[in-house]
Amino acid sequence: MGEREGAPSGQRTIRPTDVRRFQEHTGIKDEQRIIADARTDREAFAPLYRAYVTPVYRYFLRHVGSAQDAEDLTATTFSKALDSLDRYEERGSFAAWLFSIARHTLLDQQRRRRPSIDGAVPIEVLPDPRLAPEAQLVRAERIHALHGLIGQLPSDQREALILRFFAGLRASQIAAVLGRSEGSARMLIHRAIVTLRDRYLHEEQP
Amino acid sequence: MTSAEKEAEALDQFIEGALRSRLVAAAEGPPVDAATALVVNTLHAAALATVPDKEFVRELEARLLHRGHDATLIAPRPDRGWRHRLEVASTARGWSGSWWQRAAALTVIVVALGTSLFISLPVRAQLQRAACLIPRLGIRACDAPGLIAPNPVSVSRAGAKLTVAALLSSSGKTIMRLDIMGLAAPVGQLPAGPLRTTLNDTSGKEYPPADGWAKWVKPEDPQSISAVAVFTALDPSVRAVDLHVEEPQPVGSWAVRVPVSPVEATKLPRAYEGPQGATVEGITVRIASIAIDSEGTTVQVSARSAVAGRGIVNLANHQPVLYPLVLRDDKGREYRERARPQEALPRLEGPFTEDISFPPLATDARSVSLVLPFVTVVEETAPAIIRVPIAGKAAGDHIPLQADLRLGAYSFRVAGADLVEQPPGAPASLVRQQRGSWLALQLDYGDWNGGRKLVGPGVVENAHAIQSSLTSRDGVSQFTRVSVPLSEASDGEAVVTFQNARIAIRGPWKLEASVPGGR
Repeated sequence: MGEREGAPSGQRTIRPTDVRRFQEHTGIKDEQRIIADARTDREAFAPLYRAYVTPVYRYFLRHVGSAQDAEDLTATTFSKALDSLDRYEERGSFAAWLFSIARHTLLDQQRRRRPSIDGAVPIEVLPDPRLAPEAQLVRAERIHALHGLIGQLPSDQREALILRFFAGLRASQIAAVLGRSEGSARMLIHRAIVTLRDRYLHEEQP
Repeated sequence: MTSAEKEAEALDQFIEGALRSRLVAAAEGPPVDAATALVVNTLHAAALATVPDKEFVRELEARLLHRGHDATLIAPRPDRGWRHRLEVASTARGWSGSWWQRAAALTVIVVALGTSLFISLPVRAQLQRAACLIPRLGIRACDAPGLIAPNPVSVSRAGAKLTVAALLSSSGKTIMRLDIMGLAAPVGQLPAGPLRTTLNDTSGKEYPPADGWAKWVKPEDPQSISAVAVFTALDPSVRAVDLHVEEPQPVGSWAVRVPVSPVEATKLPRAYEGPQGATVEGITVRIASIAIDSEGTTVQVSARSAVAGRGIVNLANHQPVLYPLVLRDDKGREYRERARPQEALPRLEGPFTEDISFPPLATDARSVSLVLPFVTVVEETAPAIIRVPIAGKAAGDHIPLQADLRLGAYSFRVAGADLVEQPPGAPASLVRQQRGSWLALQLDYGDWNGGRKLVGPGVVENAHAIQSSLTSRDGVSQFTRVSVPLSEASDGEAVVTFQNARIAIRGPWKLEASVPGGR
């Protein structure tokens, strides 16, 4: 559900397209009803939990690189979300609200201790059809370099990229999480991908 | 809207198409350049490969929603004993079954099992008297008089292209790397034997074939073929050769002239031969050569195994970008491994050899040292077979399954199976070739045990099988998932056959070599 930019605080403006996108994204209808029911019956939250536990986990794992830390952060996030359901206001998307909690949870952890990022994050590698089998390994290694380049992006671009791909949020939702406009969120993602592409191509040169 | 904003919106549409498409390679929306598409698809695939532990998901739901809220529900996490923590590599523990291992890193390597990779029997190499760093070939013997093709040469015909990517004539042999792309139809099953080629110089002299050939078809691009063709050494006065390929369709007939130049005229970086190496567990590893130029330092490491029935398949780690080897010089400086040369040819004779790339050595460096933490070998074993009932199952179904298998002296467990529409990381072209669902097995190979760690099977006999691996912090990649197309199943049962054991053997091998001054 979306909020029209510039609308006064407390006023709800629901864009039908956002409702449809949410349903298509999560397969869940009537998100607001689920949240309302979950305020009195936690078990009613199950559909939303199941829809978002993997994106939240992916978001954390990409940041912290440790499955155990990602699990702990995921658990903390959902715990906080359930505790805050009474305070959830039906403006902006639930996904954006949830990932705002996730983001703050991550920042809290990073403030308490040094990040445990060790580069050991799950990476998917696509084979290059131009290369021979033995060079596929080399290719896989080079594409891991791409993954490593993500860590070199400016923090706002990196965050936008992770929210887009690993959390699966759309630009409008990312904008809500980051406190930016939708166009600004798209530009962050665009710049991030262009940077990755250009640096990756540079690494590809013999 | 500015042009930059329009580009950003168009890219976002492309991303949306990629994220919503089941096939990673397919995307809706406006087209983008190939490199951008690769970045987008790679990011998407990387995200898809990340899944939380199923038991964690279930436990968290139960504790959060069904048993009352507990703010400390996950910390401290109980150690269930049977869970593998790949990040703890220092303690060897008895393994037991788990259907998803925590990943320190995930690499999907599409292994074209069942595709046609023919390699002739290796011939023992002569001792290297002189070696050079040769583009696209790595460090190779370059005894004078030697000849190389200074640049790749290509010819095109009817949309297809043949490229002679590399040619070296030295130490009694001529080695060529060929790639033929864009054929009109899939190559299909390759007949045994080398690619049918002939090599002549411009005087008409023909050079007979020699051992060390190879040929293969890329599973994700069946309308291509690559090959290593080997002939006797060229006459030193030759300055061009004619290569002819005569294969049945769709490969067809090709002719290409390749200019060659004397090796010494090309000012290639010379390689310095290393000393005797270190031996651990019957495997002797040494720095065979080092070549240094302004672009980098190439260290050629070679190994021989004294154990019968064991072949060396990897000398360094499995993930040089994430867990690079470190070269140290005598001044204490460190040089971190770089991604390996993209087009270096495999060596098919003599000891197992790998070229490892580092940044350029400082000019005052006089010696280097390198530590290899493990070496990966394949040991011959009898087959291990698992039969999975799939009657009545459909894509999306999980098959609770636990089976203990053995590959020689090594045990491993099949810890579960899923029916999926697409194996993670599988190229779309391969998936399109195999209609229907896939059976994806989860495999648990355990941790280090007595200085050995089972990496996976040497071979999965099923045609079109895809393996994906997880890499732990020790740099070892274990093939923890095997997917086979269900189109090969029959009588309500899928049969998967493993053979030979791929094993990481822990060292370390501490290697040293001197580097002359005056570079």
